[in-house]
Amino acid sequence: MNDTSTRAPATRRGKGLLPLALGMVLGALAMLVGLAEAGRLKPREPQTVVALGQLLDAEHRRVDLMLERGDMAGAIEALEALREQPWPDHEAGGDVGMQLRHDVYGRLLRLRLDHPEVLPVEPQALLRIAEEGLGESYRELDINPFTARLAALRGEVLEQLDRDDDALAAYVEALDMNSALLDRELAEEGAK
Amino acid sequence: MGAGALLGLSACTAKAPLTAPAGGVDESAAGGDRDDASLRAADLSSLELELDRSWEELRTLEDSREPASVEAGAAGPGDVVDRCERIRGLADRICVLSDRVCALADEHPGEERYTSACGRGRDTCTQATEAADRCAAG
Repeated sequence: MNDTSTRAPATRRGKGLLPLALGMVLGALAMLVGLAEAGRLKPREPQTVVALGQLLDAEHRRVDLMLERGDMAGAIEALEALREQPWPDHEAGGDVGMQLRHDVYGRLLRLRLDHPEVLPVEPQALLRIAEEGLGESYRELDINPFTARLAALRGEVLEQLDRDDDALAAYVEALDMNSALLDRELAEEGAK
Repeated sequence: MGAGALLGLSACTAKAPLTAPAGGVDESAAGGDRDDASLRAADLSSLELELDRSWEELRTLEDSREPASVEAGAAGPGDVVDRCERIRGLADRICVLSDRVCALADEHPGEERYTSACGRGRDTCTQATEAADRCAAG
């Protein structure tokens, strides 16, 4: 997405920074309007989602760098810190706002499950991460890989807690989501 | 790529309307005297294209989020993931989940709920793998 090759210098256009800044804001909002028109998103507070996306973009990059250096603790701490920031609810942030949250929580939970020796927590705390991340309205979202991943991770945590019936339900739910994503992918392939 | 890209924000900022050709028309070539209304219309057209690309990436972003991929320096988050790779990735996830369901079923012999879920998961895994193989075979 950082395709600098198509980025033309503003000076070449002879336009100042103010129009550029206005364009950036317009662009972000227009994108969100486009999503809403596509039936995927109707955020009540699009500006909140824009700001959240910019914050998470920077934080994910920081986490990427930490992981490249093998700094698991730093990565986990950075993602844990994101839990503390105010997340828009489904109404305010729309589907995209929720998916952004599911992405962060899924990444955190995956790291915690894969590296239980780093900043260890009890399985019950892992379940809190999963359920806090998913929230109550996750089933209302358009099916997406982030929610599917977090639902599956919740199953792993429930299994650790010996709650097999609940784990089974979580796995089946995640299976159904991934199956629907595959169907969507194949339908698009068939349409081409 | 991060959340901004997921949102299309990187695209919208890096390719801000006033710094990139809008609607296939280079603004500088067009004179650059357009009023705000026409500018916005062109920008929106351009952004719709960006939106489609962003949404496409959203569906594949999970792969780039896998810690193993990051640690191994595999395909970078911003890399375009081939459709067949996406299908393969989904098939793999489906089969991993199916394995987990069946492992639970093994611990609950004779419980219909588990047995049924395992059978359904196996079927889904088989179908997904076949779809991935068909895609790879072209």
